Amino acid sequence: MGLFSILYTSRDALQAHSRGLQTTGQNIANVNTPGYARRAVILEPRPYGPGAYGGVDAVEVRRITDRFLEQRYFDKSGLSSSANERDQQLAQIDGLFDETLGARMGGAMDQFFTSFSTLAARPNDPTTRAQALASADVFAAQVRDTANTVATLRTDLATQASSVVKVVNDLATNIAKINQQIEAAENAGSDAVDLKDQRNTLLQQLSEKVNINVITAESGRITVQAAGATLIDGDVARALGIDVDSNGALKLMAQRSGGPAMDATSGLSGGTLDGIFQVRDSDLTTIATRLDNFAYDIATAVNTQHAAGFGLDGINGRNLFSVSPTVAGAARSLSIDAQLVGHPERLAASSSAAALPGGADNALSISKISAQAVSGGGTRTPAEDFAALLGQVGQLKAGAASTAATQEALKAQAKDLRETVSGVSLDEEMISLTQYQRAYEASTKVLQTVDQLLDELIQRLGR
Amino acid sequence: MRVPDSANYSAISANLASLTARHAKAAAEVSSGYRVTSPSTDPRAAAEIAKLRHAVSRAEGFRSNIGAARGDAELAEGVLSEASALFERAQELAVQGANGTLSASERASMAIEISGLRDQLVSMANTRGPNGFLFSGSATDTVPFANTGAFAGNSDPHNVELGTNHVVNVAIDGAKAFTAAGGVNPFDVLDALATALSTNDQAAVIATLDNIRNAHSQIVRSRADAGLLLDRLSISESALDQGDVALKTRKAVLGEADASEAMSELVSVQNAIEQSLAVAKRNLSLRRFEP
Repeated sequence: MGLFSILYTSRDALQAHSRGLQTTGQNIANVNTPGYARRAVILEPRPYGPGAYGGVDAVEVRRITDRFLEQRYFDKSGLSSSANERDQQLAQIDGLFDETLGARMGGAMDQFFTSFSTLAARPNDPTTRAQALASADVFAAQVRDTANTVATLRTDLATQASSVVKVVNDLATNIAKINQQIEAAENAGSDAVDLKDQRNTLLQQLSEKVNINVITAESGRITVQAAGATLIDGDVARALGIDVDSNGALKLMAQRSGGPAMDATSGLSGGTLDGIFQVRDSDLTTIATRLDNFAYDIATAVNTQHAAGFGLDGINGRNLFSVSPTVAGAARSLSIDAQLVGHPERLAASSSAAALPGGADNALSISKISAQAVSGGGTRTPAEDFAALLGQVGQLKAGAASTAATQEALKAQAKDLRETVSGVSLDEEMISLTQYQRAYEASTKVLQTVDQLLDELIQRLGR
Repeated sequence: MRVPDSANYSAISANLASLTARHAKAAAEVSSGYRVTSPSTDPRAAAEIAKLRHAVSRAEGFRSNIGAARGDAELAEGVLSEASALFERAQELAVQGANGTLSASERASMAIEISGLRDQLVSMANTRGPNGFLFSGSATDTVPFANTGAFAGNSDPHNVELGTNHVVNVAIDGAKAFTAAGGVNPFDVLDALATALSTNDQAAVIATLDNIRNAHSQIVRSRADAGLLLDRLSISESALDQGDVALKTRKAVLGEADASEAMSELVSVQNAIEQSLAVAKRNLSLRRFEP
């Protein structure tokens, strides 16, 4: 072992510490880069002994990650996205039922029953009759508008689900391509850390759209399951699709290798897509059904009573409202019966033809429906039923907001945990910087010393 | 445990987001005056407010009904008061006509006045209110009394809601006031008096005195009924007023913001935001690398 071997040792040390400085610089530069996982230079001693000059080798620049924490973050990210989507969508419905600044459906219903009470007091007054008919029309329009808004939102959500699925498929294609590139790079001897960062960023985006499970094989090849179905297998991406079942509910279809697409809806548990499915096919369906029942119960009770009375023209048997024959679709179909449109004199205020035109008992009976348990299967008055509907909407939204806040906190916690492993700490990098700098300086000193010794040796030998 | 820089920023960001949300809520309460600004703010309170709003709206309708019924009842009471005065005059004339010293021509003059009073009574009985003829029952567009005194109306009740489960018949029964259904037919009584006076039949004049008193009493009873109805309307209105105060108070307690509490929260959150920003500034200004 001679002095020249020490030169090699110093050379390797300079190279290794130079790589350390380079990596530290890279970490500092990417302190704010989303998806960046800090790098660490893995140093290993070279063999030292007979025939081996020792030294140090920077064997690898490693991405510091924890698969368990990564997967946990994907899970929490999906749940948070799902809860946020549901919260945001339900905010629109919450606003629809907000009567703080003005009467909507509830106020219109109150006004409708009140106008028939007034009609009972002034059955022969044309203005009162016109007001009663107008209030019935406004009530029907409010119910219809509310139900139409809910239906429109359901349609929009179906479109939105298709858009999200398209984004998922695009992400899957890109991740599969990166997988291919990583494999090629690794086969060529590169560590492909930047590509892995890119892939991780895309996986994070994917986890916000649909719940994913990332399985990493020993070889480093990854398989990604979305909603329980294989979406990416190495460099092969499969596609998700949206379908509708016989009840009009959305279905998440997953393409399979060599077979028909499978229904993966039951495996959906996170991501924007899950939020959309929950709002559309659970929350909004519940609200739409409640609205239909509310409209159908009131319209049926009012029509029965109205048909029993007589208009000023002495004719009875007319309905006040036109409504679908079944509960389904009742709210969207509610309107003033065609026979009554423009004919307030046909309002059946009198309970008998003989009592016309001042008879008002039937108008009174219609007004009294507001205090009768005609809704909720004969358990609630219309006002109680509306209040229950309002309360249910409020509870759905409040529950969604609370879940969204909780999931957001859990996501932040999972992110922080992941960052404790993968995030860049400037304090730590400052120490690393000093550490590598000093080691580099010391190696240079060793080099200088050997140089001096060699110089002296050459000088002495040359005399 | 490693604390990466991103953890610092995300904590600052999350705290500020949470405070900003509280600030927005407090500001909305202070500016709108409402605590329950949407059903989700407090679902249970929102549901109760909806029921209270329904009750308030119904009460407004009942108050309107009371107003309409009061208008008719006051008009009827006024008409019946005049009818009562009319019969007092008829009674005076009958008492005078029963006096044996009166000449035939004097009785004939009295007969003419009685005929005039009768015409006035027909006119009174056919008074129109805002909702049609006052004394025609449900046949509000039918002239209830012909010149003969024949009654074309009916005694149908006019039931009106004056409160929840509180329905009152507000009709002033024309038949009870102006036909034999009330005891005597006032028109026939006046006709008999006019005939007795015009034929100078002292005994017949005397014979009408009881019926005139009965007809007068009949009108007075109807007037009293109208007065009682007015009292009932006033009582109902008072009850509505009291209920209204209770409903609105409960609605305010549930839905309106406590101004001092909301303002205190606003100021408190503003301070917290300022402190949070100061901490963030200090945290972000840490200099690890000297140039």
